[in-house]
Amino acid sequence: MPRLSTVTASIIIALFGLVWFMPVYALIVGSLKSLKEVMGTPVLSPPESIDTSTLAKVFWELRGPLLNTSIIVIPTAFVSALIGSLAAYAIYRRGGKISDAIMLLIAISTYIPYHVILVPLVQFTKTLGLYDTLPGVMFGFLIYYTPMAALLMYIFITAIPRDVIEAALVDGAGEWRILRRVVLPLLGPGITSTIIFILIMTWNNFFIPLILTRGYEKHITLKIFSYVGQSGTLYNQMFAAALIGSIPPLIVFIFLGRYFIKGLLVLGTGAKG
Amino acid sequence: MVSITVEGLTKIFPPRVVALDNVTLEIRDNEFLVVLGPSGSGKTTFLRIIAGLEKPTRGRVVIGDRVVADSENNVFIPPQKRNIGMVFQNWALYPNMKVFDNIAFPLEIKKVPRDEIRRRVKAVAEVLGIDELLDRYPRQLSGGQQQRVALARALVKEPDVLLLDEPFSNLDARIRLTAREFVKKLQKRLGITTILVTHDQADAFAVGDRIAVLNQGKIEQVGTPEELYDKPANTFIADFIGEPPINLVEFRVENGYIEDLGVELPGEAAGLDKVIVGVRPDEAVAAWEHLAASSVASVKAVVDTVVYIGSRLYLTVDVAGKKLRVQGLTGHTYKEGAEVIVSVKKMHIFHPKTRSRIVTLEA
Amino acid sequence: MTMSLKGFIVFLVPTMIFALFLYYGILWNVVIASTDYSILNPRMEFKGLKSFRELFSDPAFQDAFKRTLLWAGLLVSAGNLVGLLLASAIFQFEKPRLRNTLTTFFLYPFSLSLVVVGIVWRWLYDPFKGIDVLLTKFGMPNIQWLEGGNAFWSLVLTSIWVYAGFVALLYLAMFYNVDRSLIESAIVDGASSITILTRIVIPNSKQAVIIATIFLALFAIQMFDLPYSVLFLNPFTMTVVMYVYSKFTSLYFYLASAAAIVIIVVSAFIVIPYAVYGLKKWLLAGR
Repeated sequence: MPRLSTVTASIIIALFGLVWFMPVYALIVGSLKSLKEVMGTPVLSPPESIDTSTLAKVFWELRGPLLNTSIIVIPTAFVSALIGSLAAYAIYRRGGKISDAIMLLIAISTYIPYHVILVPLVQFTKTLGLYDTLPGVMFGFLIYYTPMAALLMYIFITAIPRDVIEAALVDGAGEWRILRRVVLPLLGPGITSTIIFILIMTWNNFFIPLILTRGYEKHITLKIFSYVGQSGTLYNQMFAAALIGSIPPLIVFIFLGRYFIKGLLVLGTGAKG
Repeated sequence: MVSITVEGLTKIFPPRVVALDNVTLEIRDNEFLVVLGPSGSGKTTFLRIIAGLEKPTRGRVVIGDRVVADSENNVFIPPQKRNIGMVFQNWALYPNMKVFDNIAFPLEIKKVPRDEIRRRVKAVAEVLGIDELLDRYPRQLSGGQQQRVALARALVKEPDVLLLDEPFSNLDARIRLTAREFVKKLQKRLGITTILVTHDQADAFAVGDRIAVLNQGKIEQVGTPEELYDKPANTFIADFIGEPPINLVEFRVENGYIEDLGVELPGEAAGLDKVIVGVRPDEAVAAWEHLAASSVASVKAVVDTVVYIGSRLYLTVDVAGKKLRVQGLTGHTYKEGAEVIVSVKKMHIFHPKTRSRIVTLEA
Repeated sequence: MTMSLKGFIVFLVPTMIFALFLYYGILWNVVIASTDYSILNPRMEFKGLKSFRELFSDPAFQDAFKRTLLWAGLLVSAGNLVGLLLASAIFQFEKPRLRNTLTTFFLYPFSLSLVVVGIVWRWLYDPFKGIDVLLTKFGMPNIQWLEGGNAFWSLVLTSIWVYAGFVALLYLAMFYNVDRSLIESAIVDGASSITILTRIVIPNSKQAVIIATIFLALFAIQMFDLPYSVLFLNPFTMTVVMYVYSKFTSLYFYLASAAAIVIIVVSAFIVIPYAVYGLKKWLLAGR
């Protein structure tokens, strides 16, 4: 292609890139500043000397919420992907109008904002005695992310040729075995995408832990949020908390981003990639 | 001893697609039956019902001495329990498993001990000449190799019946010839009752003991390849089988003779006022003079066009305003517009309304 | 042969428990909204549409409702524009690796928690320590980003920053789907790359506009984390979801539920046609 457009494109990328880069940059330099520096310098000025003590201190404060979040989020991602796969497989295998209707029900529940069930969700969790517990938050996540996993897996499953499943039927395999030995192995990348996607979305979720727990300890986003109120103008602690809390999803995103992107595209366009 | 009986088989896909319409057929023990039909004729549905992948709307299927489907008594045995081997059109190998595991899968389900699985997979792989490929994945194989793996997977559990769905259509022309021969020999050697479904008459003629021709969900004719070619039941069969296609031309009948051809019709045909005459291009020759003795008719004709099909020479000639394709004699030069004499060795006479064959005239 | 009904139910039940809870929650909202259930009246008496009358006459809700719709409008239009611009720029580069790296880079805000986004931007918008410091250095006026009504516009900008990369991703996915031979024949015809982009690639990617619009509208309708973590329940940046939350925390349950129903109705107008359309496409693709 002609060079002129590449130049224009480069300028656009550079300008927007600067704006896109600014916040991460601020997060990193801000959390490396000492207490003294934080008082006087703007957010975007580089630190005069690198001080990791804030990061260390905040990390120590975050250890509980980090652990709690991992305990909630990792099983949620795996369980919802597994349960969703079962439903997706059943709907694909059974076919017909009822299956279509059920899939539509699942798809709509995936796109409806989950915030709307705030009142009943809190009441229900309280009735079950799960309010302010880790399983309670997990339950809240599963309500929303299991149908989403089913939708994602359904779109991935439709890419599997039906005659491979029929061949397994003729070979004598039952539904469980077909799912375990034939369908799931073929869905490897699809399952990975689903798990990664839900992992990132639940790690970053703020609303569900906010309404289902007291205090700030049960989920990392709550803990990060708690620094907004208590630290006043000491942005180094806030930034350190935000940075530490973002590292797990960022690492997953940077190294397994293609799976996350695939999940996004599948939800958006139904692309099977 | 496994024969298959199909009685009154009907399959309707909602809302109103009639894929099979009251099909009755018997497949004998050890027989290689080919179901031949154009696309949309219902042949794949037929195979899938035998396999248990579809439920018949009406009718009965008996495999061996077991009723596997009976709409009246609500009997339906699912594919897992029918002990059949099936090869799918694009082979449907499990892409995530190596060749060995693909073949071993049916045995694994049957909980056959590991040693025996190994032994039986090796044995069947040897028969099919794929014992070198057991460590590969399906995507690393050529089309012909994949087909053999699919065959091995179908055969390893020693099924009562082998079902083949268009097994040659995804092979390129060169391998197809050897593959047909291979499948035919294998079937005879194993003596397994086999049904093959195809749209390609060359497939059917190469492997079938008998051929059932299916059209719009109905069986038009069942017979050996020779029977279908020599004694087509109706114009559909006559037209569907044979290459180049048969000439089917309507002629008037006058006083028991076919007008323009001067051929006397025997029996009931003589009483009609019109007939459809079927002449295969290979059974009619155009020459300069009347070729004596072996012909039922000789008529004057005018050369219209000349074409080569393969190494053979064919002419389109004009007989009393009707176009016929006939064979030419190699070594002759035919000019367009030249007058020739066409000698017909064999002629099928079909009823103009029912389109079924009344009689075949032969020299 | 399809799956047996028994197997179908067994496989489906776990997912349906969760999916149906969502629908149960929606129904429960309807029930609560038809009462005057609150801290003052914990007895749940049926009051018909009273809660909706009260809701729509509450100036705070009117504000939140209008603001949310405005946010959706702004995010949809600007998000599409910026996303399209980014996608077009990325598309000008030929190397797939460079394209992927740039796409991932512009998408990263989407992988951050909105609370984190809120914290950073809250400081970047700070009049003494934020980008204003830079702006004044270059002789530009000091913008009071979070002052009064300004805060809404600033947060809209931030939301564009969050979601534009996602929009670019959708556009790029469609761009890559455009038949390569169309582009090549245009090159042979001597078209410039700008012409190719505007005359061939973008017109063949209309679907991306629809999808991006639907998702941006949905993101705006559920806007909560970002404004909440920047300015809490500030009246200048209150959205409908925030209104639901504030009525919930002040124990006016019937108002919270009534507002939730408004969200459901608005999003149903967007979601149901999309889900039907999407499923038709995927179902057809699966058969």
